[in-house]
Amino acid sequence: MADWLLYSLASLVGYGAVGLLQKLTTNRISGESSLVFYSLGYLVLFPLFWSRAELNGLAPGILAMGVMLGLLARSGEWFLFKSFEGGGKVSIVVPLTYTYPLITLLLAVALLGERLSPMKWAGILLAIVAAVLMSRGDDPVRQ
Amino acid sequence: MFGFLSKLVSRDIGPWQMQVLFTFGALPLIVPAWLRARGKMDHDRVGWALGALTGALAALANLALFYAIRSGDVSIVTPFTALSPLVTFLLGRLILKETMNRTQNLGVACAVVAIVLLAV
Repeated sequence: MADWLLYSLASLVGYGAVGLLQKLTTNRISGESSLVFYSLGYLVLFPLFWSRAELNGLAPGILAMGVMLGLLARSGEWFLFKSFEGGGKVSIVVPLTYTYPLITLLLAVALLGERLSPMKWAGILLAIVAAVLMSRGDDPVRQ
Repeated sequence: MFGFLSKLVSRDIGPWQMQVLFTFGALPLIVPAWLRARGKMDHDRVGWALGALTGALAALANLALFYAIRSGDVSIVTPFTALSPLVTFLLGRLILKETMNRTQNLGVACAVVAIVLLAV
């Protein structure tokens, strides 16, 4: 099995289980409390990551871009939360957010020069349709 | 943007370094959430443990994502990993006995086909 596929499957299963655990957590404690303990759990593994990450000698630009990844990801979640607070309908907002791979796809093809076979194109488009369809429910269990 | 930038950064640094820097970037937005939670904390220890387990698992899933982005085309990895609700649905069905509506069932079928198309 190709490395990318193995790691992608690990991430897919991991995030899938996170979705279920989030549901189980918020069945017992408030959203605010769950966020606090989610963050603590996230930080518990930080010493392990730190011990294996050599940051000395990295260019400031690379460091800044790495930090920006975290900022971007959390900002995306914050904007999603704000759109709900602003009266956004779950049935519209959530499926719309699941089209995000389209942005990555366009940037990767246009700027990184990634080339895809027709079968991969079909798989990508079907994956986006699938993510949008799965997010449409009365009580979606999602990441 | 996240997937695209991750791919760019992964050309210069490894997944462990990316995960550390990612956490640094995420921290500024975690602090306000913590401040908001003050005075509203529940006291269910199982809930606390589940919340912490969720965070730890998310960190590992994120690390795996960085490995995947580094070793594959981000144009394929991103839509592939966006199918994680499929696993959530299946676990929800197995463990919580949740039911899915017709649209979601169609989404699950599309996801399975998409995974096969992307993996071959």
